Amino acid sequence: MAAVSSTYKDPSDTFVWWIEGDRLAIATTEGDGGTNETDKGQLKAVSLGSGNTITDGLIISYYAEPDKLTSITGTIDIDNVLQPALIDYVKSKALMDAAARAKDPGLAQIKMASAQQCMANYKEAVRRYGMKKNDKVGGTRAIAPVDMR
Amino acid sequence: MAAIEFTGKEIYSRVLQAVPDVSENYVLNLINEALIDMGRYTNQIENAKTDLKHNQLWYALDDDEAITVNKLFRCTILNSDGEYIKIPRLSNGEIKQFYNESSTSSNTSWTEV
Repeated sequence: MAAVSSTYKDPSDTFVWWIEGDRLAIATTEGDGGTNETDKGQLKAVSLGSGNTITDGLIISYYAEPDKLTSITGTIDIDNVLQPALIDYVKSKALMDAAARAKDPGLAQIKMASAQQCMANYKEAVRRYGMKKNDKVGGTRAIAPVDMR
Repeated sequence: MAAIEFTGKEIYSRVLQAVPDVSENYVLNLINEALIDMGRYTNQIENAKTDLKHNQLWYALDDDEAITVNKLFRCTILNSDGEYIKIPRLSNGEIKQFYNESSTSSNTSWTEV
């Protein structure tokens, strides 16, 4: 497998991408095709010459899942503003399990109510305001008025 | 550096106040469960790179890859000047030729950037 340099002048004109299931497709209209249907101008897989690659030729940007925490002493892979929400989630689940184990029905009820409060806090923090809390855009947002002249 | 860099230990100490008898391993599992739930929302943006290969249409995004992709929103290709140029998404996701690559995961190797 040989590494070759990119010869694509403007990939935005000739490349496309799409998703199918858990696979990303990269197709291009450039280069030679094996049949009339994959000639220059028709979308097909990248044609670089057999066994050739462009090193680091593709970069993707994506919404990611935070990395798994493998040790209790490890640092958690989320923005600091979301840490209180994480505490709420863990406390809520722990309290729910504790309520299920409690032999005293009154105590179970108190734990369950506390668990629901923690879960409500979590939902509000992450599901309603998560994106707003950790975006880095500062200042007020304004709409430019129409010029009436 | 932020005022507090949270580790699992800090979360554990907070949980102990509410539920005194839980184990570290139990809290670790709950933290990971929370992280999966948080991943459903658009809180974390990352980038990753891979090699562009001859005659390969499909690049794997399975959860067992080195990166965990929830929603892809941008693709860029290296041009002849060494710049990464954004490419458009094909809305109908159909081309004339069929590429059957049964093992896309073994052909793809992502590196987080």
